[in-house]
Amino acid sequence: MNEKTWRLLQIQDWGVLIEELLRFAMWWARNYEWRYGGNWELAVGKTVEDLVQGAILKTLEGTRRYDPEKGELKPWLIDVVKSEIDHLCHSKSHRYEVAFPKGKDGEKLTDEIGYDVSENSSLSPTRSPDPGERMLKEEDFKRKANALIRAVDGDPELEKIYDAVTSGCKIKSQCLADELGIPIKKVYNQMRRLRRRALKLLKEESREQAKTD
Amino acid sequence: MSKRRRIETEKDLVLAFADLFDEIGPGAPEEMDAELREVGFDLDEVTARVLTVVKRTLADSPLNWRNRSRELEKQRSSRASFALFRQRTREENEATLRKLAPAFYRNLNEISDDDLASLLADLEYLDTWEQGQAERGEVLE
Repeated sequence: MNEKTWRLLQIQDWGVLIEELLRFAMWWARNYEWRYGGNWELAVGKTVEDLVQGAILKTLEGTRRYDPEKGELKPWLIDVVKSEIDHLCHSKSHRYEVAFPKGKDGEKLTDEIGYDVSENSSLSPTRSPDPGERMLKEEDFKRKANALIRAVDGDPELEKIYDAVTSGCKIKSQCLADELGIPIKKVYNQMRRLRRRALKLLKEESREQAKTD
Repeated sequence: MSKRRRIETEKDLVLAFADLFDEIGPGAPEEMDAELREVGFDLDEVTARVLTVVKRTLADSPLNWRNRSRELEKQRSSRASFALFRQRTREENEATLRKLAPAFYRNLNEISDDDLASLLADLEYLDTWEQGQAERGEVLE
Protein backbone atom coordinates (compact mmCIF):
# COMPACT_ATOMS: atom_id res chain seq x y z
CA MET A 1 0.00 0.00 0.00
CA ASN A 2 1.41 3.40 -0.88
CA GLU A 3 1.76 6.39 1.42
CA LYS A 4 -1.13 8.32 -0.13
CA THR A 5 -3.59 5.44 0.27
CA TRP A 6 -2.51 4.83 3.85
CA ARG A 7 -2.94 8.50 4.79
CA LEU A 8 -6.36 8.51 3.19
CA LEU A 9 -7.38 5.46 5.20
CA GLN A 10 -6.10 7.05 8.39
CA ILE A 11 -8.11 10.24 8.06
CA GLN A 12 -11.47 8.59 7.38
CA ASP A 13 -14.33 9.13 9.79
CA TRP A 14 -14.47 5.42 10.56
CA GLY A 15 -17.39 5.73 12.99
CA VAL A 16 -19.68 7.09 10.28
CA LEU A 17 -18.32 4.71 7.66
CA ILE A 18 -18.82 1.64 9.87
CA GLU A 19 -22.41 2.67 10.60
CA GLU A 20 -23.17 2.99 6.90
CA LEU A 21 -21.53 -0.33 6.08
CA LEU A 22 -23.50 -2.07 8.83
CA ARG A 23 -26.76 -0.60 7.53
CA PHE A 24 -25.96 -1.75 4.02
CA ALA A 25 -24.85 -5.22 5.15
CA MET A 26 -28.01 -5.75 7.19
CA TRP A 27 -30.18 -4.62 4.31
CA TRP A 28 -28.44 -6.90 1.82
CA ALA A 29 -28.41 -9.87 4.20
CA ARG A 30 -32.14 -9.48 4.83
CA ASN A 31 -32.76 -9.43 1.08
CA TYR A 32 -31.04 -12.79 0.97
CA GLU A 33 -33.27 -13.91 3.81
CA TRP A 34 -36.29 -12.96 1.69
CA ARG A 35 -35.02 -14.71 -1.42
CA TYR A 36 -33.48 -17.87 0.02
CA GLY A 37 -34.83 -18.18 3.56
CA GLY A 38 -32.48 -18.62 6.49
CA ASN A 39 -31.50 -15.81 8.74
CA TRP A 40 -29.68 -12.48 8.51
CA GLU A 41 -27.16 -13.87 10.97
CA LEU A 42 -25.93 -15.69 7.86
CA ALA A 43 -24.21 -19.01 7.47
CA VAL A 44 -21.36 -20.69 9.29
CA GLY A 45 -21.78 -18.55 12.37
CA LYS A 46 -20.80 -15.30 10.64
CA THR A 47 -22.71 -12.16 11.44
CA VAL A 48 -22.87 -8.92 9.47
CA GLU A 49 -20.59 -7.49 12.15
CA ASP A 50 -17.92 -10.10 11.27
CA LEU A 51 -18.30 -9.35 7.58
CA VAL A 52 -18.09 -5.57 7.89
CA GLN A 53 -15.13 -5.80 10.25
CA GLY A 54 -13.44 -8.32 7.95
CA ALA A 55 -13.91 -6.12 4.88
CA ILE A 56 -12.37 -3.10 6.63
CA LEU A 57 -9.44 -5.03 8.09
CA LYS A 58 -8.67 -6.64 4.73
CA THR A 59 -8.53 -3.13 3.27
CA LEU A 60 -6.32 -1.74 6.05
CA GLU A 61 -3.97 -4.71 5.85
CA GLY A 62 -3.86 -4.54 2.05
CA THR A 63 -5.37 -8.01 1.41
CA ARG A 64 -8.08 -6.20 -0.53
CA ARG A 65 -6.28 -3.50 -2.47
CA TYR A 66 -8.04 -0.19 -2.45
CA ASP A 67 -6.89 2.27 -5.10
CA PRO A 68 -8.02 5.88 -4.47
CA GLU A 69 -7.34 6.69 -8.12
CA LYS A 70 -10.22 4.39 -9.09
CA GLY A 71 -12.88 5.80 -6.80
CA GLU A 72 -14.03 6.72 -3.32
CA LEU A 73 -13.57 4.46 -0.34
CA LYS A 74 -17.22 4.11 0.74
CA PRO A 75 -18.62 2.58 -2.48
CA TRP A 76 -15.55 0.40 -2.71
CA LEU A 77 -16.04 -0.95 0.82
CA ILE A 78 -19.75 -1.48 0.13
CA ASP A 79 -18.76 -3.60 -2.86
CA VAL A 80 -16.37 -5.62 -0.71
CA VAL A 81 -19.08 -6.23 1.92
CA LYS A 82 -21.60 -7.17 -0.78
CA SER A 83 -19.24 -9.61 -2.44
CA GLU A 84 -18.39 -11.22 0.94
CA ILE A 85 -22.10 -11.72 1.70
CA ASP A 86 -22.78 -13.05 -1.82
CA HIS A 87 -19.90 -15.46 -1.55
CA LEU A 88 -21.01 -16.71 1.85
CA CYS A 89 -24.65 -17.15 0.86
CA HIS A 90 -23.88 -18.85 -2.43
CA SER A 91 -21.37 -21.22 -0.94
CA LYS A 92 -23.94 -22.22 1.66
CA SER A 93 -26.84 -22.61 -0.72
CA HIS A 94 -24.83 -24.69 -3.16
CA ARG A 95 -23.48 -27.20 -0.74
CA TYR A 96 -24.87 -30.66 -0.58
CA GLU A 97 -23.49 -33.27 1.73
CA VAL A 98 -22.47 -36.52 0.17
CA ALA A 99 -22.89 -39.81 1.94
CA PHE A 100 -19.75 -41.62 3.07
CA PRO A 101 -18.41 -43.59 0.11
CA LYS A 102 -18.91 -47.31 0.63
CA GLY A 103 -16.91 -50.33 -0.53
CA LYS A 104 -18.19 -53.48 -2.24
CA ASP A 105 -19.42 -54.95 1.01
CA GLY A 106 -20.93 -51.72 2.19
CA GLU A 107 -18.02 -50.76 4.45
CA LYS A 108 -17.20 -47.09 4.98
CA LEU A 109 -14.10 -46.08 2.98
CA THR A 110 -13.44 -42.75 4.63
CA ASP A 111 -14.62 -40.65 7.52
CA GLU A 112 -14.30 -37.40 5.62
CA ILE A 113 -17.47 -35.64 4.64
CA GLY A 114 -17.23 -34.29 1.12
CA TYR A 115 -19.36 -32.14 -1.08
CA ASP A 116 -20.18 -33.21 -4.58
CA VAL A 117 -21.61 -30.56 -6.81
CA SER A 118 -20.57 -32.03 -10.15
CA GLU A 119 -23.20 -31.89 -12.85
CA ASN A 120 -23.61 -35.64 -13.05
CA SER A 121 -24.03 -36.01 -9.34
CA SER A 122 -27.47 -36.75 -8.05
CA LEU A 123 -26.60 -34.19 -5.39
CA SER A 124 -25.71 -31.37 -7.75
CA PRO A 125 -27.40 -27.97 -7.31
CA THR A 126 -29.36 -28.56 -10.50
CA ARG A 127 -30.92 -31.74 -9.19
CA SER A 128 -34.59 -31.82 -8.27
CA PRO A 129 -35.03 -31.34 -4.55
CA ASP A 130 -36.33 -34.33 -2.63
CA PRO A 131 -40.02 -34.25 -1.66
CA GLY A 132 -39.34 -33.12 1.91
CA GLU A 133 -37.09 -30.30 0.78
CA ARG A 134 -39.56 -29.27 -1.92
CA MET A 135 -42.35 -29.17 0.62
CA LEU A 136 -40.34 -26.92 2.95
CA LYS A 137 -39.49 -24.54 0.12
CA GLU A 138 -43.10 -24.39 -1.01
CA GLU A 139 -44.15 -23.69 2.56
CA ASP A 140 -41.59 -20.89 2.78
CA PHE A 141 -42.83 -19.27 -0.45
CA LYS A 142 -46.40 -19.55 0.80
CA ARG A 143 -45.53 -17.79 4.08
CA LYS A 144 -43.78 -14.99 2.20
CA ALA A 145 -46.55 -14.58 -0.36
CA ASN A 146 -49.05 -14.29 2.50
CA ALA A 147 -46.84 -11.73 4.20
CA LEU A 148 -46.82 -9.68 0.98
CA ILE A 149 -50.60 -9.80 0.68
CA ARG A 150 -51.03 -8.75 4.30
CA ALA A 151 -48.42 -6.01 3.91
CA VAL A 152 -50.23 -4.33 1.01
CA ASP A 153 -53.71 -4.82 2.47
CA GLY A 154 -55.42 -1.49 3.18
CA ASP A 155 -52.62 0.60 1.63
CA PRO A 156 -53.88 1.82 -1.79
CA GLU A 157 -50.39 2.75 -3.05
CA LEU A 158 -48.96 -0.65 -2.22
CA GLU A 159 -52.01 -2.44 -3.57
CA LYS A 160 -51.44 -0.73 -6.94
CA ILE A 161 -47.81 -1.87 -6.98
CA TYR A 162 -48.85 -5.41 -6.09
CA ASP A 163 -51.50 -5.47 -8.81
CA ALA A 164 -49.07 -4.16 -11.41
CA VAL A 165 -46.48 -6.81 -10.54
CA THR A 166 -48.95 -9.72 -10.48
CA SER A 167 -50.63 -8.64 -13.71
CA GLY A 168 -47.36 -8.99 -15.60
CA CYS A 169 -45.60 -5.61 -15.48
CA LYS A 170 -41.90 -6.02 -16.17
CA ILE A 171 -40.04 -6.52 -12.87
CA LYS A 172 -38.15 -3.23 -12.90
CA SER A 173 -38.82 -0.16 -10.77
CA GLN A 174 -38.73 2.07 -13.85
CA CYS A 175 -41.38 -0.04 -15.62
CA LEU A 176 -43.58 0.10 -12.51
CA ALA A 177 -43.15 3.86 -12.36
CA ASP A 178 -44.12 4.17 -16.03
CA GLU A 179 -47.13 1.90 -15.63
CA LEU A 180 -48.40 3.64 -12.50
CA GLY A 181 -47.52 7.11 -13.80
CA ILE A 182 -45.51 8.04 -10.71
CA PRO A 183 -41.85 9.14 -10.26
CA ILE A 184 -39.38 6.30 -9.75
CA LYS A 185 -38.38 7.72 -6.35
CA LYS A 186 -41.92 7.14 -5.21
CA VAL A 187 -41.72 3.52 -6.36
CA TYR A 188 -38.49 3.11 -4.37
CA ASN A 189 -40.11 4.52 -1.23
CA GLN A 190 -43.22 2.40 -1.59
CA MET A 191 -41.11 -0.70 -2.22
CA ARG A 192 -39.06 -0.01 0.93
CA ARG A 193 -42.25 0.35 2.93
CA LEU A 194 -43.56 -2.91 1.52
CA ARG A 195 -40.30 -4.77 2.16
CA ARG A 196 -40.12 -3.57 5.74
CA ARG A 197 -43.73 -4.49 6.49
CA ALA A 198 -43.45 -7.93 4.89
CA LEU A 199 -40.23 -8.76 6.75
CA LYS A 200 -41.74 -7.51 10.01
CA LEU A 201 -44.80 -9.71 9.50
CA LEU A 202 -42.58 -12.72 8.83
CA LYS A 203 -40.56 -12.01 11.95
CA GLU A 204 -43.70 -11.73 14.07
CA GLU A 205 -45.01 -14.94 12.60
CA SER A 206 -41.74 -16.74 13.42
CA ARG A 207 -41.90 -15.45 17.00
CA GLU A 208 -45.48 -16.69 17.35
CA GLN A 209 -44.48 -20.02 15.87
CA ALA A 210 -41.57 -20.31 18.31
CA LYS A 211 -43.95 -19.63 21.22
CA THR A 212 -46.40 -22.36 20.20
CA ASP A 213 -43.53 -24.83 19.58
CA MET B 1 -43.54 -5.03 -27.31
CA SER B 2 -43.11 -8.18 -25.23
CA LYS B 3 -46.19 -10.05 -24.06
CA ARG B 4 -47.20 -9.60 -20.41
CA ARG B 5 -46.87 -12.69 -18.29
CA ARG B 6 -49.08 -12.81 -15.22
CA ILE B 7 -47.60 -14.10 -12.00
CA GLU B 8 -49.36 -17.29 -11.09
CA THR B 9 -47.35 -19.04 -8.41
CA GLU B 10 -46.33 -18.01 -4.91
CA LYS B 11 -42.73 -18.72 -5.80
CA ASP B 12 -42.80 -16.35 -8.80
CA LEU B 13 -44.47 -13.68 -6.67
CA VAL B 14 -41.85 -13.87 -3.91
CA LEU B 15 -38.95 -13.89 -6.38
CA ALA B 16 -40.38 -10.96 -8.37
CA PHE B 17 -40.43 -8.87 -5.21
CA ALA B 18 -36.97 -10.18 -4.29
CA ASP B 19 -35.67 -8.66 -7.55
CA LEU B 20 -37.41 -5.37 -6.81
CA PHE B 21 -36.08 -5.28 -3.23
CA ASP B 22 -32.52 -5.78 -4.55
CA GLU B 23 -33.00 -2.86 -6.90
CA ILE B 24 -34.07 -0.19 -4.40
CA GLY B 25 -31.15 0.14 -1.96
CA PRO B 26 -31.40 0.63 1.82
CA GLY B 27 -32.83 4.18 1.64
CA ALA B 28 -32.49 6.89 4.29
CA PRO B 29 -30.43 6.06 7.40
CA GLU B 30 -33.36 6.79 9.74
CA GLU B 31 -35.52 4.32 7.87
CA MET B 32 -32.89 1.57 8.01
CA ASP B 33 -32.20 2.31 11.70
CA ALA B 34 -35.88 1.75 12.47
CA GLU B 35 -35.68 -1.59 10.68
CA LEU B 36 -32.58 -2.54 12.65
CA ARG B 37 -34.27 -1.69 15.95
CA GLU B 38 -37.18 -3.92 14.98
CA VAL B 39 -34.90 -6.95 14.68
CA GLY B 40 -33.01 -6.06 17.87
CA PHE B 41 -29.79 -4.98 16.14
CA ASP B 42 -28.06 -2.33 18.26
CA LEU B 43 -26.28 -0.23 15.65
CA ASP B 44 -24.46 2.00 18.17
CA GLU B 45 -23.13 -0.91 20.15
CA VAL B 46 -21.94 -2.88 17.10
CA THR B 47 -20.40 0.26 15.55
CA ALA B 48 -18.46 0.93 18.75
CA ARG B 49 -17.12 -2.64 18.81
CA VAL B 50 -15.96 -2.56 15.18
CA LEU B 51 -14.51 0.94 15.63
CA THR B 52 -12.34 -0.27 18.53
CA VAL B 53 -10.87 -3.02 16.35
CA VAL B 54 -10.34 -0.63 13.42
CA LYS B 55 -8.58 1.96 15.60
CA ARG B 56 -6.33 -0.70 17.09
CA THR B 57 -5.47 -2.02 13.63
CA LEU B 58 -4.62 1.48 12.41
CA ALA B 59 -2.46 2.13 15.47
CA ASP B 60 -0.62 -1.21 15.25
CA SER B 61 -0.10 -1.17 11.51
CA PRO B 62 3.52 -1.18 10.35
CA LEU B 63 2.44 1.62 7.99
CA ASN B 64 1.60 3.90 10.90
CA TRP B 65 4.21 6.68 11.07
CA ARG B 66 4.66 6.24 14.84
CA ASN B 67 5.56 2.58 14.33
CA ARG B 68 7.76 3.42 11.39
CA SER B 69 9.64 6.17 13.24
CA ARG B 70 10.03 3.78 16.17
CA GLU B 71 11.54 1.22 13.81
CA LEU B 72 13.90 3.81 12.29
CA GLU B 73 14.88 4.99 15.74
CA LYS B 74 15.56 1.40 16.72
CA GLN B 75 17.74 0.85 13.67
CA ARG B 76 19.72 4.05 14.29
CA SER B 77 20.13 3.36 17.97
CA SER B 78 21.06 -0.30 17.40
CA ARG B 79 23.73 0.62 14.86
CA ALA B 80 25.37 3.07 17.28
CA SER B 81 25.14 0.66 20.22
CA PHE B 82 26.48 -2.23 18.17
CA ALA B 83 29.60 -0.23 17.29
CA LEU B 84 30.07 0.66 20.95
CA PHE B 85 29.63 -2.90 22.24
CA ARG B 86 31.91 -4.22 19.52
CA GLN B 87 34.73 -2.05 20.84
CA ARG B 88 34.43 -3.53 24.34
CA THR B 89 36.02 -6.75 25.53
CA ARG B 90 34.15 -10.06 25.53
CA GLU B 91 34.16 -10.15 29.35
CA GLU B 92 32.65 -6.67 29.60
CA ASN B 93 29.89 -7.63 27.16
CA GLU B 94 29.09 -10.89 28.94
CA ALA B 95 28.82 -9.00 32.24
CA THR B 96 26.47 -6.46 30.64
CA LEU B 97 24.34 -9.24 29.19
CA ARG B 98 23.95 -10.86 32.62
CA LYS B 99 22.88 -7.52 33.99
CA LEU B 100 20.38 -6.75 31.23
CA ALA B 101 19.02 -10.28 30.94
CA PRO B 102 19.75 -12.32 34.07
CA ALA B 103 17.54 -15.17 32.83
CA PHE B 104 19.40 -15.51 29.52
CA TYR B 105 19.69 -19.27 29.11
CA ARG B 106 21.95 -19.88 26.13
CA ASN B 107 25.52 -21.02 26.48
CA LEU B 108 27.51 -17.86 25.87
CA ASN B 109 30.35 -19.84 24.31
CA GLU B 110 28.06 -20.56 21.34
CA ILE B 111 27.61 -16.87 20.55
CA SER B 112 30.09 -15.01 18.37
CA ASP B 113 31.39 -11.58 19.39
CA ASP B 114 29.30 -9.91 16.67
CA ASP B 115 26.13 -11.72 17.72
CA LEU B 116 26.73 -10.80 21.32
CA ALA B 117 27.24 -7.12 20.46
CA SER B 118 24.08 -7.17 18.32
CA LEU B 119 22.05 -8.86 21.05
CA LEU B 120 23.21 -6.30 23.59
CA ALA B 121 22.30 -3.44 21.24
CA ASP B 122 18.76 -4.88 20.89
CA LEU B 123 18.37 -5.42 24.63
CA GLU B 124 19.61 -1.97 25.42
CA TYR B 125 17.17 -0.45 22.94
CA LEU B 126 14.25 -2.40 24.41
CA ASP B 127 15.27 -1.40 27.92
CA THR B 128 15.37 2.29 27.02
CA TRP B 129 12.13 2.07 25.04
CA GLU B 130 10.24 0.36 27.89
CA GLN B 131 11.52 2.94 30.34
CA GLY B 132 10.35 5.71 28.00
CA GLN B 133 6.98 4.05 27.69
CA ALA B 134 6.61 3.80 31.47
CA GLU B 135 7.57 7.47 31.83
CA ARG B 136 5.00 8.45 29.20
CA GLY B 137 2.40 6.40 31.06
CA GLU B 138 1.77 4.05 28.12
CA VAL B 139 0.45 0.66 29.13
CA LEU B 140 2.15 -2.44 27.74
CA GLU B 141 -0.38 -4.97 26.38
